[in-house]
Amino acid sequence: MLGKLIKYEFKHTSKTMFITYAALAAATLMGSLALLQEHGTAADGSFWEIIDIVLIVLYIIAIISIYCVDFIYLCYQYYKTMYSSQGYLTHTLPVSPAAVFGAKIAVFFVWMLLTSLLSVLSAVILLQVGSRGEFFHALDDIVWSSFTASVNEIFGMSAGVMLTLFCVISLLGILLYILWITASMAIGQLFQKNRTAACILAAFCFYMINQILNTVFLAVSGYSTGLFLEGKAASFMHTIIGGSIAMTILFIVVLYGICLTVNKKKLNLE
Amino acid sequence: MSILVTCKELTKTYGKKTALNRVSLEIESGHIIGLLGPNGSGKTTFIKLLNGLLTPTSGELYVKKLPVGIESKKIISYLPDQSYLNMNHTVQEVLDYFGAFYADFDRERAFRMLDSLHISPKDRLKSMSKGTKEKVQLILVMSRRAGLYVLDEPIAGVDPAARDYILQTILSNYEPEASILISTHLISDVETILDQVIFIREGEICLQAAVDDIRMQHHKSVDALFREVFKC
Repeated sequence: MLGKLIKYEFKHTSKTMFITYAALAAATLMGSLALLQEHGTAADGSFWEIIDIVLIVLYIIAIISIYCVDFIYLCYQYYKTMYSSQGYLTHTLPVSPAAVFGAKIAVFFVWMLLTSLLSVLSAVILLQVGSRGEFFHALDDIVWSSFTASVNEIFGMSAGVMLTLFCVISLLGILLYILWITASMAIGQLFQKNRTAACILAAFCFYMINQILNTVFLAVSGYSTGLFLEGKAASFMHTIIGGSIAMTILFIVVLYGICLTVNKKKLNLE
Repeated sequence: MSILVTCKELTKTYGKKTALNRVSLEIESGHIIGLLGPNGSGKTTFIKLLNGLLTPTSGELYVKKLPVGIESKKIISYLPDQSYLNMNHTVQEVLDYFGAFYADFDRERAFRMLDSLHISPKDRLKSMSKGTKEKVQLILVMSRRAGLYVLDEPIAGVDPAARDYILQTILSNYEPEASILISTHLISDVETILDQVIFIREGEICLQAAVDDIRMQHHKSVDALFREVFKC
């Protein structure tokens, strides 16, 4: 049943998501044309340069907007099918609450991951176009060696490990934000009135708890005592990265538990 | 006759308001039961508890001796009192969805009913009138070979001609061994098809009886008795 739930969740969200990806492609094309124009019309005067700058700014706004639109759309879709009228169908399917929630979160995560990857790809295309195809050539051995040396010096680890950790943190970050929102919605639907306000309040509370724990963690790890300035930067970074990953996983587990408990034992489709 | 639904001391409160107060009842298979009461009497709350859309404050609720959950959802075919489908979908897409998740969904039966109403499976729900959407929802619900059909206000908000069609659809498509629980306050329209009634007032069951017994003992129709019991 989980497979079917995932299949239909993708099916029900794909149309809107592909429209936003088409918009992303259009924005990338627009940005690329602007960068090509910049090189070709350097001598044409300031008017074209202003147009190019406007197009680049529009591109950046478009990329950020598309990311936000995708996230908001998926949040709306989640709310609509879980706690609004369509929830009547979702929660009367003969499947476990864990499967329903798991399918929705998995699809949400995959779409946001795809949006992130496509945004990065779009930026890389622009850099490649802007540099007249020299972007990848610029990342030659000398630059890479310099980067590796810097990473090794600051973080005390190889660039490969560093990039892997960056990917892990990014993936966990996406999952954390999704669960942050869904847990807030789950708390919000427990109330008879002012559910939206309760949802926002819950989101704020989760944020504050996260911030307080992060601050406590930084204090405990020696940030406030300046340990990282005393030749122990690498060790400090290891603690920070390891601790951040552990804290994020802890938050993910807690938020997942909240969502599942509410959907399983406290569902309130009044 | 086997017992389909058992509830013991079932209570549901919303804050300080008690929607259901220690309700105990049993529903047997093979009956068409009217869950009757004025607005706000607790009918929809009871139905939502039965479908796992609300959690009881206290008490017990079983469907075929099983607590409300995956197994009970396999048995119950539920029609809510509002539109619960994605309006951007076509009828075909909704049929596929029901077919994928409900093992007892009879596609042939659904297509027959759609055909009799001249509804194309290619039509999008959002392009339909309110009455047609309600008929599509009813078709989906009645196309399941379920053990218990729970219909919350199936005839509210539709014209008398559509009511006749809906009642006819209910009667001609439910499984003989199944029971139908119809919640409504439009008693006169459904009275002819009911064989049992449950009167609910302010969250408490005030009568559960066979329709024939009501006529014999009270010498009244269900509608007349309802008006007497719930007189303002």
